[in-house]
Amino acid sequence: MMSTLLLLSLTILSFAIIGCMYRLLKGPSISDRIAALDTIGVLLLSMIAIICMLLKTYAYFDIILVIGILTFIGTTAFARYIERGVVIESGDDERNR
Amino acid sequence: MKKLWAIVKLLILFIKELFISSYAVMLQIVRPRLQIRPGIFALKTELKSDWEITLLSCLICLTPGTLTINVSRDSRTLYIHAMDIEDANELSLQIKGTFERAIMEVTRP
Amino acid sequence: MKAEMMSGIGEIIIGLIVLAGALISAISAFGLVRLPDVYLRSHAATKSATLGVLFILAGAFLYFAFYLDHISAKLLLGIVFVFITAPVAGHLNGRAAYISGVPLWERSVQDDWAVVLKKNKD
Repeated sequence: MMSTLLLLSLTILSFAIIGCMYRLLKGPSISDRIAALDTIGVLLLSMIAIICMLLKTYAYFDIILVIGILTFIGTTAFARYIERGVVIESGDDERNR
Repeated sequence: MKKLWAIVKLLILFIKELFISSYAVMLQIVRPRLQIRPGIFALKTELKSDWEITLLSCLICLTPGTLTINVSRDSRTLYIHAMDIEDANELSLQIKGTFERAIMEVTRP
Repeated sequence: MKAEMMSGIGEIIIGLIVLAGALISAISAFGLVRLPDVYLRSHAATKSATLGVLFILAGAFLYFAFYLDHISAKLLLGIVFVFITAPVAGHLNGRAAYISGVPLWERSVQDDWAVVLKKNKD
C-alpha cells in the first residue's frame, strides 16, 4: 500500500519536472531559466528521498545534501553573472556598480 | 529564558505564516482566471543591524505572497514584490506588526 | 495482530504525507509554467516548492525513525538547508532579473523601486 503511494508520488514529481523543463527550454529571459533550474534541483532532491524510502536504504542521504548545495551555488553564481557580468568580483567593484 | 520563549514564538509564527501563504499562492495558481495585481512597494524598516535585516527579508520571502527584491544601500528600506497588492500601506503595516515586533523581541532585550 | 495494524496505518499516513508533498510540488511547477512574469514565477518556485520538500523530507524522516530505527541527522540538515537557501536564491534571482531589465507584467499596479532608481540617475 505504501509503496503504491510512493510510486504515485514519484510519477507526479516526474510530471512536475517535465513542466519545469518546458519553462527551462522556452523561458523568455535568463532569470526564468534559472528559477526553473532551481526548482528542478529541489524536485530531484525530493525524488531521491522517496527512492530512499522505496529501497529502504540510507545510503543516498549524502546525495540529498550534495544536490541541495549544488543547486544553491549554481543559482547564486548564475544570478551574480547576469547581474554584474562577472561571477567572482575583483577588489575595485565599488566603482563600476 | 525570556529570549528562548521569544525565539519559539517567532518560529511558531513563521511556520503558521508559511502554511497560510503557500495555501494562498497555490489557490491563485490553480484558479482558472488570474485575478492578481502584482507590484513593488517600499517598506521602511526600523531594524538596524545586518543580522536583523537578513532575518526579516528571509521571513518575508517565505510568507504571504511577498518577495524581497532589493535592500537599499543604507539598509533602511526594503523593496518588496507582492503578488496581490490590495493596499500597500495596509500590507506594510501588517508586516511591521507581526515580523518586526517578533524579531525585535528576539534581538533586543 | 494489533501492532501489525498500527504499523500498517502508520505506513499509510506517511505515504499520504509524501503524496501531499508531491502534489504541492506539482502545483508549484504548474505555476512556474502558467504565471506571466519572472517575479510571479519565483513566488511559486520559492514558496510552494519549499513546503513540498518539507513534507517529503519529513515523511522520509518519520519513516526511517519509526520503521528502520535510524534517526537521520542528514535529513534534518537537508530540511534546514533548503529552508535557508530557498529565500536567498529567490531574492538574488529577482534582483538580478530586475537589474538586467526584465519588465514587470503589464497589469502590475505599482513600482516604487523604479521611481527611486530614476531619481538616483538624475
